[in-house]
Parts: sequence; structure tokens; C-alpha cells
Amino acid sequence: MVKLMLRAVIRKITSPAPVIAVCAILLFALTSLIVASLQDDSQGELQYWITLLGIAGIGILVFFLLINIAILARQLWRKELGSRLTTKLVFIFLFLMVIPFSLIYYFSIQFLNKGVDSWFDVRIEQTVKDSLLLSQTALEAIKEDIINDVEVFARTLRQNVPASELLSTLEDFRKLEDFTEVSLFTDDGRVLAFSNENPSQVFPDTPGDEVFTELRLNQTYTLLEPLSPTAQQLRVVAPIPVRELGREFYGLQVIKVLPLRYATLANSVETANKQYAQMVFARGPLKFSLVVMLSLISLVSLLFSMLAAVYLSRRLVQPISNLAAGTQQIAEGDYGSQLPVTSVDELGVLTKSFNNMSRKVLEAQQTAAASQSETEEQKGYFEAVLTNLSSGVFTFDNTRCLQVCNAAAGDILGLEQSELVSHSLDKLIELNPQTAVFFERIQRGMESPHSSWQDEVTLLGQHGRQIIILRGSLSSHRESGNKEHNQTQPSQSGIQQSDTQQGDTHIVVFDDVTNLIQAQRDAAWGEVARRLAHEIKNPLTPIQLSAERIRHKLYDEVGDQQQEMLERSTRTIVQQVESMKDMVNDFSSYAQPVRAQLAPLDLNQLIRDVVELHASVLQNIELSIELASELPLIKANSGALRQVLNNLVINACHAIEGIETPKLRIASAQPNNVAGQYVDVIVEDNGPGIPTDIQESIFDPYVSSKAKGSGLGLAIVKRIVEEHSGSVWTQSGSLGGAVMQIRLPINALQTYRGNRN
Amino acid sequence: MTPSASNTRSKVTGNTWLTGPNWPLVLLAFAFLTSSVTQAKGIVLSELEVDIVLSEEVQSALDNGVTLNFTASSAQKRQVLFITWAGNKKAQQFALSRHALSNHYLLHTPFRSAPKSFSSLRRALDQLERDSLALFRQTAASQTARPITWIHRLNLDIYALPSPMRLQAFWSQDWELDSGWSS
Repeated sequence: MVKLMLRAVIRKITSPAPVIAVCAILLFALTSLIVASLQDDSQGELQYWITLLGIAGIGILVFFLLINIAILARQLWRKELGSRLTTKLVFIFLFLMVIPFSLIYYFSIQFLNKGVDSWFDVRIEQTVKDSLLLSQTALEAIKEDIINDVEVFARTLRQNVPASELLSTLEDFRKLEDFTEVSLFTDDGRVLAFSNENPSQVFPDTPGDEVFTELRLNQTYTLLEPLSPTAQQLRVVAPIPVRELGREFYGLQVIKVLPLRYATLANSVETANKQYAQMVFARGPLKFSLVVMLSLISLVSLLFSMLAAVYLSRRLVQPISNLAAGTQQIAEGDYGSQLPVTSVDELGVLTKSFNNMSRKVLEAQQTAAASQSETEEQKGYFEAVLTNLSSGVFTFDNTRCLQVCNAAAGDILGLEQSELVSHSLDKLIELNPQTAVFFERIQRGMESPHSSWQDEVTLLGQHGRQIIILRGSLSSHRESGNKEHNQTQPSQSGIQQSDTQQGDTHIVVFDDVTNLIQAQRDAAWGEVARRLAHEIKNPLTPIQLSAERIRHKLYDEVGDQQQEMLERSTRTIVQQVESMKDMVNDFSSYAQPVRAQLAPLDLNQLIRDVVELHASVLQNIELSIELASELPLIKANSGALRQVLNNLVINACHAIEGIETPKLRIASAQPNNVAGQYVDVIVEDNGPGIPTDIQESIFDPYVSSKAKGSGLGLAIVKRIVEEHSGSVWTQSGSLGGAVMQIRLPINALQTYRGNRN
Repeated sequence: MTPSASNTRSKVTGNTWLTGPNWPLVLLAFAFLTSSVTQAKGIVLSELEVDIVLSEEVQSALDNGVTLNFTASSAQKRQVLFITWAGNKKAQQFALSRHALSNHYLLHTPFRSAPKSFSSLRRALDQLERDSLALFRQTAASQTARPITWIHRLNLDIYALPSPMRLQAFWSQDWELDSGWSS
């Protein structure tokens, strides 16, 4: 609290106003002092106080100066903005000020000494002395005349003046000589008689002791006595020796007031002499006083100039310091700082310009912040859209480096987003061999001359076979991200993206349409099955019943020959109807999706069960069963997979019919070089293999290399395998016949027919 | 100030400067009084006599036409606790000068209109001492309603010196002719 008050007081007293006030008072006081020094009738006490005031004022100015210097030193120590420039300016001002000031002071002192000395001329001094001497001589002459008269009269009185006539004698003598007063004293100072021109004068002008001292020496006492500036008198006292008992002498005193002309002239000479003597005597003190005054004024002026240098420097530097501070604030990100405009000069214009610039920077910054906020919102919206999008989205920059990867993309491909982002396309192909074909398709699409492209690729992903549709487009735009953090940043919404996006961007949107295609296919086949059941299967029963009724009604009414023909015809109709029913049922079975629940299934055991089921058929076949040990359980529908294995084993048996040494190999395995967890089932025979012309469509319905058969066996196999998110294909085997290879995921999704998400 | 003008001047000042509770000034006055009582310079004042000794500088000034104005002051000594000050001051002025035409020293006293002439400075100073002592005794003998302790002071009035000489006289000890307050 005290510190704050002290600082406030220091701030107040170090402001220019008190200094200017003190300086003004001081200059006024010192000027008055100088004027007073040159005038005799001035008030001495006032001069004393003015001198004290001047010294006190100088002390105050020194105090102000020391405080300002201390403040400046403190600012320098703290390295405050503008302090060094202020110090430089102060030193420059002082340098420019002190040297001429010192010269002026030195020469002023010299001129002052010479000037005061020049007032005193030897001839004037001699003239004054001569005038005094002349006056004294003139007065001496008057005095001598009076002395002669007085001494003559004294002798007269001594000789024959009786006491009774003494007073009249004095009166006559006074009137005769035109004296002012004539008086007679005893040697002890008693008045014997006196005569004065003023009748009202009761007592005579008694002489002093020193007069009687001289009279005792029998000497006549004379003295010129000033009465007033315009009146002087001559006092002459002559001794009258007597020979009386106890008395030595009488004193005859004559007082004569000098005539006015004499008195005035004498007084004038006296005054002139006095004043000149005073001046001569006061020459030293006068010089001293003037030097002191000059020094005081010089000191006040110098101190004032020093303080003014400090204040001016501060005032000059203040706008620059403000500008520096403002610039620093802007550099530190504090935009919009407004500086006080304290002048209308160039610095004021500069400050105004700075304020204008600062305001515009603030506006621009606010606009940029708003824009950034809007961009962030849009980005957030975009990320939210991307995150919630079931389709995978990739964006590649012009260097084919993956910039953006949403969660669905990683999910579809079974890859971690962080493993994808910021890698180039070539690197992605290299790092992910199981999805290499996917990225190769993207690369091919990006290399295509078209701005947009579309492709389809089938992958064996983590959850099985996937059909992925890709659509790519080239987007030409430039966007600068945050260059300070050129790293992969996981966004809050789960979108992995690199921070630098620049130039042409390839946007690739892809989707796993496996289920969609499957659903479409199921719907199509289901519709076919429904139509078949409706259009074909429904009329079959009436046909069969009608044929049996015809046989029943006509069998007894026709002859034997016709009976046989009737019997054969109706049996043929019934058999064909049954055959058509089987065909329709088979087709319905194919078209109808498996809706059974998936459950853990030991595939090896299923293979053993199927082999056991067909043991009688396989008696004459060289059977090789190669089951992988530690084969994991898979999630599957055992009934459906049993049908798959039955179909494959039956097809193989049909294929190797008539072969001299029929061979059949059934194997299970766990592939190592694929992503995800799969199990393989291989059924291989040494039959004639699959004809080349139907290799492409061997799994389509009603495509078969056999003369007999519905052509739906492999189609059903493919459908069931795909419904388990697996894949089936043919390949060349070591036995020379057909090889059917099934790859099933260990963790097939339950809703394999529906949306995977 | 001319001797003729000053010889009739007398002033009586009251203690109105102490009417307010201006204790810092009182303390300052106390310090001033204390110092003036204890430091008599050039003039010794006691109950029985006054002794004035002029420095060579002052004598030289007097012989060169400078009039010396002496102030004889009497005041009532007042005291509250440890603070003492002079109240109800009365002052008379004496002017000592040299008359060049007659080569005598003139003493203007408050008792007569015309100055008294003296052939030597010592005689003039003796007369000044006598007159001031008489003045002090006269003041001290004045009848008052209650007992009063009078204090007296005789000093050279340097404020009455010619203007160019004052500044030097302010801090020159040669010009310090002051008896200080003495009872």
C-alpha cells in the first residue's frame, strides 16, 4: 500500500507540470532577486527569502532530476522498451546543451567582472574626493571665521562683562553674527546663559562630554553636524579660562545653521561621496551577488534544460516505445491493440497508421478465425459423414499418398487405419499383399485418362470373400493444412488423415457389395423359384392325379393292348411329373437361402462323416484323406456344409466312373499366406477334369459336363459356400482331374446374408 | 532606508503567528530561539552591559559610507512545557553612519531627531551600548499586570544593508552581529 502510494507520488512529482511550476517560480524569484540586487531600496528580508527559495528550488530540481535519472536507470536495468533510446536522446540533448551553456556561462562571468569594474573610473573617484575636499575646505573657511568671532567674543566676555549683562550680551552677539544659538556653560556643563533665535527654545543644545574634554585642553571645539538632509549646523565651542576657585574655564558655544545653499551643497557632496564609497566598497560583494545570481539562474536553467531533455526524450520516444510495444503485442498474437495518439506530427500519423493496421489485422484475424471455425465445422461435418458412411473413402494427393481414410475403409479391408494413412499407393501394395489387388485397381484407375472411373474387385478378406466396387474421381483443388504439424493426426471422429493436402486429389469411394449382390441374387432366384413353384409345380399334381384317374377309369374299359399302353403312358406321365417335382424342389432348394444358425463346427469330423456316409460307393476308389491337425472350429451351418461335401464327393465319384484306377483325395488345411483366418477343403479326383468351355460357368445353374444330373449341384455348392462368406474355385491338381477348393472363414458372420455392418 | 527615516521607527508585534496549532513552526521557532540564545556573535548582552565589537569588514563598510542599522528588541519570554518563544516584541532601531565632511560618526537614536556626532567609532558604539541598555532597562521596568520575564536582543539588521551587500552578509560570519535573546 505504502509502496503504491509512494509510486503514485513519485509519478505525480516526476510529471512535467510540477517541474515547470517550480522552474517558473524559480526563474521569477531569481529575476526578482537580480532586480533587487541592483536596487538599494529593496526589501532585504524579501531578498533573503527569495535567495532561500532559489536554493530550495534548485534542491527540488536536483531532486526531480535524480528521481528521473533513477527511473531511467531502472528502466535501463529492466531493459524496458524505449529506455535505451531515451538515454541516448538525453545524452545527445545534454551534449548539445552543456557545451554552449558552459561557454556562455564562462563569458558571462568574465563580462560581468569587466562590466562591474568598468563602472569605477579613477577620474570619477578623484573627482568625488576632490569635491569632498573642496567642500571641507569651504566649510573650514566658514568655520575659521566663526571661530575667530567666537574667540574674540570669548575674550570680551572674560574681560569685562558683568553677570547682569551676560544674557543681553549673548543676545546681542547672536544677533550681530546671525548665529542660531549662543550659550555659556561652566566647566561641569551647567548653563549660565544662552540665547536662541527661537524664543520657545527653553534649553540650549548641550555639548557632549568630548567637547568639554577638548575645552580642558584649552582648544576650541568645532563640528559640522547634519540635522537633516537639507540642514546642517556648525557647532563651535571656545574655552574661556578663568581664575576662580574650583573652576577652570567657561565654555562659549555658538551654533550656526548653515545657509540653505551651503547645506544643500554640502549634503549633496556628502551623499555623492557616501554613495560612491559604498559602490567602491560593494564592488566585491556586488560581483559576488551577481555571480551567485547568474550561477543560480544558470543552474536553474541547466537543471531545467536537463529535465526538459529527459521529458522531451521521453515524449519523443514514447510513441516509438508504444509502437514497439504494439508491434511486439501483434507479434505475440495480441491483435487489435490501439496506441494513444499524443501528437499530430509524423509520429502521430505513424501511430494512427499503426492503429489502423492493427484494427485491420484484427478484423482479418477475426475473419480468418471465423473462416477457420467454419472450415472446422465443415470438416467436422465432413468427418462425421465420412465416419458414419458405410462406404470406405480414400483420398490420395498428387503424389498418390493416402491422405484420408475413414473407419469404414479400414473395416471393409480389415486393415488398421493408421497403417494406411500417409503411405504411398506403391507402399500400400507392398505392405498389404492380401489387398494388393484392391490397391492395384485403384492405381490403375488413377492412371486412367478419365477423371472418374469405376471398377470391381473380389477379395478374400478377414470375413471371407468380398466383392468391392470402387469409384474414383479426380478433384482438382488446393488446400493448405497446418504445416507446423506435418504428421498423421487421428481425428476425433476416427478419420485418419495426413495434414498436408495439396494439388490434385483422388477420391476413391468403395463399398463391400458382397451381401448386396448376394441378396439381389437370392431375391432373383427366390422369385424364379416362386414362379416355378407357382407356374410349374402347382399344375403337376393335377396332371399326376388326372393321369392316374384316366388310368383308373379307362384301365378296365380298354383292351389288354390298350391297357398296357395306358399303363405305360400314365406311368410315364407320373414319373415325369415326379421328375419335374424333384427338379422344382431341387431348384427351390437352390434358390431358397440357408437360414440356419451358424454354430461351431469341426470340419474334419464333418469330412469323416461324409466319407463314412459314402463308404459303399467309395469302396472301389483309392481314397486319400488328408486332414490338417489342430484345425480350428469354424462357424458354419453343418447341414449346409454337409450338402456341399456330399455334392462334391458325388460329383467326384461320377467323374471317376469308368476310370481304371479311380482316385479321390479329400483334404483340409489352414492357409498361411492369406489375411484373416480361413480353412481350406480340397476335393480332388483323377477324372477327366472340367471341360475348358464350361470352366468359366461351372458354378452356374444348369451347367454340367455330365449327361445326367440337374446341373444344380455345383451351383448349390457355390451358393452355400458364399453364404458362409467363403469361396470355391477349381484348379489343376496333382491327380490330373478336377480340383474343387473351398475356402471358408473361421469366423463367418452370422448375418452373412444381410448387411455386414 | 535612510537614518532619518529609521530613527523614529519602532514597531510592536504580537504573537499572532502562534494562534493556530502550527506546531512544526513552533518547533522551528524553538530551535531558532535556542540557537540564537546560545550563539551570541559580535554583540554580548548581559543584564549589566552591552558590548559591541565590529569586525574589520563591518568597520570598513561603515567607513565607506555604509549605514549600520542596529535593532534593539525586547520581548516577553513565553514558555509552554519545553517550548520557549518571544512574544509581544518591541523593537527600536539605531543607525550608525560616518559623516565624511566632518569625519565623525553619527548615531541616530530613537530618542532624538538629530543624530549625535562622535569623533571616534568607539565613542559612537559606547553611546549605542548605553542607549540600548537604557532602552532595555526602561522596558524591563515597565509595570505589568502580572510578572513577566523580559528578554532582550541587540543585532545588526543585515536586511537594511545596501542590496549588493546583503547576499554576502547572509552567510558571512563577519556580519553576524547578534546578541541573541537574553534575559
